[in-house]
Amino acid sequence: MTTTLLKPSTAASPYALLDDGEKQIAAGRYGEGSAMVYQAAFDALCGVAVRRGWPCATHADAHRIIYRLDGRKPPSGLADAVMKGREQPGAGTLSTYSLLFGIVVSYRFHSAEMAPTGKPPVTFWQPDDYTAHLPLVKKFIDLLAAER
Amino acid sequence: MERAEHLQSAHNFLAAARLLANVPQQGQAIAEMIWGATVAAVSAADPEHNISHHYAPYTGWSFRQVAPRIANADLTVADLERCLDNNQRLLHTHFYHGNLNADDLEFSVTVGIELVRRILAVAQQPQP
Repeated sequence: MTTTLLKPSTAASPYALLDDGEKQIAAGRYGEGSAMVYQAAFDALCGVAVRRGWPCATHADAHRIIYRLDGRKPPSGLADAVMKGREQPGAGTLSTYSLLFGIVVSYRFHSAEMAPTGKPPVTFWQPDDYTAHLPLVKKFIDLLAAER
Repeated sequence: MERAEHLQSAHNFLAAARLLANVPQQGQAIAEMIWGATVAAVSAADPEHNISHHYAPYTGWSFRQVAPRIANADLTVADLERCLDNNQRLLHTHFYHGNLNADDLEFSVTVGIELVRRILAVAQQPQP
């Protein structure tokens, strides 16, 4: 899966990018709009990472940053992720950044122009979903903006 | 199904995921086990609704019975419901198409297991 954007953008603030993405989506350009929404979230995340001296250049870096922000050690692979789940307590505060980043991942997923198979990507959002999830990305960016 | 049966199903799905974690190339199956565990956990938390696994995509009503008890200050119940639904769709689509990359699959599984564990914790408490 590929996305057209990745490295931190310097062209616009995350909020301006999010606004542009919303306009693209409203115009029915779902893939382009989703790419902008993803970039907005990625830039906001990198803003925090840079202040803390954490690497932030790839989608994999973004995952690692999210785990750190939620105070969790990243799993070392899928098997580790499954086994670690066994150790998690059943109570306490939910991992807010992880939950919201799942929405960001979906915008990236729906911005892909090509799946690894070389065929059009499989998507699962209906047109309304692209709009309905935008407030959660804004909340993600708001929370990051409040991070020091 | 009764609550105890739903609870057992959820634990069985999680146990199956742990078994599959030791077998190479089972990411799609693991994704579906976490999806199933979530459906069973939500069903256990709202047994009066008697939701069928067959109607799993429509668990919103049942999840709303649980969400207020696991939500935190940063996420409203509606936010949480949308996050859960989206993660379920990521996992279920991966089961059919294997289209998440390794990082995204690992992440969705991690989030899914956390949600299952929290929902199960609520489902195992006495109902209000």
